[in-house]
Amino acid sequence: MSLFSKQRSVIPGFGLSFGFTMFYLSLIVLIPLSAVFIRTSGLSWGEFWNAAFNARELASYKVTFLSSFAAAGVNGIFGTILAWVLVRYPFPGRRVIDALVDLPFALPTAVAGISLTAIYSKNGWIGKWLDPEGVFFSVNQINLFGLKFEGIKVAYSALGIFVAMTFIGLPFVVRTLQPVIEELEPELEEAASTLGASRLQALYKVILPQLVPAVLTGFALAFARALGEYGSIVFISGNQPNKTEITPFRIITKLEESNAAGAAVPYATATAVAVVMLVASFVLLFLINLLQKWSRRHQEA
Amino acid sequence: MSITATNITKTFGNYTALNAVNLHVPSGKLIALLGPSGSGKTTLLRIIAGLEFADQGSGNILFGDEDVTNVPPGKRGVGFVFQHYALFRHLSVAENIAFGLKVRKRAERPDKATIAARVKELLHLIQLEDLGGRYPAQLSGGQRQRVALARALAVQPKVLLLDEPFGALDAKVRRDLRRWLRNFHDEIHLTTVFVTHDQEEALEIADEVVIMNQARVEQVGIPQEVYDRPTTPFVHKFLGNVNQIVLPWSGLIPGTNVPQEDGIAFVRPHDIELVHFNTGRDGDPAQVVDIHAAGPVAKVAVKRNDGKGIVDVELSRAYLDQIRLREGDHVLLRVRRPVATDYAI
Repeated sequence: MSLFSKQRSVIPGFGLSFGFTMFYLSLIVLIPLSAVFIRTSGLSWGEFWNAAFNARELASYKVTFLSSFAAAGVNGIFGTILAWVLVRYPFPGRRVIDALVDLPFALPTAVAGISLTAIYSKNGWIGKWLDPEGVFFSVNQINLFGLKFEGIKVAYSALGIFVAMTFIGLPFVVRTLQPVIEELEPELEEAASTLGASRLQALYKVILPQLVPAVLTGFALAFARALGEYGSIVFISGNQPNKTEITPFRIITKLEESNAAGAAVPYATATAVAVVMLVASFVLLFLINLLQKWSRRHQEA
Repeated sequence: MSITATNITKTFGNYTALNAVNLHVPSGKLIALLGPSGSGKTTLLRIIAGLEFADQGSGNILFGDEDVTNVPPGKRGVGFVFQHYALFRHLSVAENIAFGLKVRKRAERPDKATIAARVKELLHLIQLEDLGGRYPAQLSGGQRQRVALARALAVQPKVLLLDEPFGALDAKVRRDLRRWLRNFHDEIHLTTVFVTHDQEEALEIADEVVIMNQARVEQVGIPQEVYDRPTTPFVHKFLGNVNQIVLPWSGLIPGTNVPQEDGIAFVRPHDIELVHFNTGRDGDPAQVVDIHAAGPVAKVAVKRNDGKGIVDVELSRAYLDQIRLREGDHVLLRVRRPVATDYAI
């Protein structure tokens, strides 16, 4: 008895292509991921706990997840506006800007990291006006209603991590939203206006509710990308223990330590952190998917 | 409330969509704007609604005595129904209908109970009482169109404007829905303008038909009048089928001086008599080339013996059976009544 009912089909080759799909998926995705768990299982619960939940690791989870969440949130808002402008308004240079959106995709992340660091460090173009030790704040102080303002540090701080994550996450939101906005007929806005709705009401009662599922998808993609980002962040974050170490950086560090020390179960302390990261991301993405399904409830015929 | 559009011109770049168009819609009537695509009928409707504005200084729109030329659509008191419904997908049917009431300013907004009662009344009117909780994606095309109509009516508009309201529906639903619209209009007597490119639809339900072509109004009149007495060659060809018979024609054409040297007579297929060659006394000799007998009316194509083209004739099935017409038979054609002869074309 075959697992799938035999049906005549105009497109043959389901068996072959399905078999190949499963093989490929296992080879590329499932086996490497299970290796992470298998390695980690070499540790006792106590060792696992010590490796994955000590203060330094906890600090890295915190900064990684919070920055990723904030960056995806900012991208969700500004990426939506950007996509809207690119779809709805014809203006000179639109195609150039449209192409620019893909740049964070295409750019080697190390290049992005170095350029961001160069710009936001205390001697950089933007950094020198913001950094407490830059040309501006090292001699001036802003006094607002008795609150002293001595500048903000972007490079080598959690803010820098957030900036890098925002940079790399932008295309995900824009590219997810563009086709959805293209499908949104202008008649919907016209219908709202003939019914007496103001521009603002048309926006938040008609347009935004229809964009929510796509914005959530874009948010989830940008969030997932930010969680896994390494190359562009390690330069700008400065990697100060307990402050600006992101989790992927901790994994690399632990790999190197494990190599140097000749641990009993090689790499296991690194994979322990990886397991935590994997499970947490999976749970978060699952929750976002549920939210998406809920926001799409009216689309089911 | 009557609608008066005076001297409306609209251009999009080099393209003229409307060229000094005048239109008067008497209060309480159902008017069809009929024309081929690109004739400007939808643009005119959108200008009446305020979704589009006529060219600067070209003309104005009056609702009754009030000049609404520069009034935004939401304040004109129009109900507009879009060809593809433009329902709000994320709102239920009831929420769609209530939309226009809910977006009003607090002072003008009816309370919740009043809105709910109005929605219920409208759902009853469009015969979808039980579907208030459904989403548009769960409705058929005809149901969606009725919801769009109810949504437009909820704000109690002074005029109702429909853009190709049945264009996206299949033939049967289309016929049902247009009859329903006619009955519905007879009940509420709201001034209504609808755009269509389907002449049958316009002639069947409109009180008056406005025929448009190439950015101009060609003719205005009650359906029978525009069908029987077209005033321009365009209206002639556009409304119903018509034969362009090249003269001379053997036999009498009423209202003309036959035999004529040259010219063209416009004759509808059902205004031509057909008899067998051997039973007739006079008429234009021709030969049957094709008989289509499906349906109540048989369509017969005959080729004139003098080589002046094919003439379409419509005969009743009973008559066709009685004379036992076959393809290849020789016949005589007589014109009962031409619609017109010899337009300056």
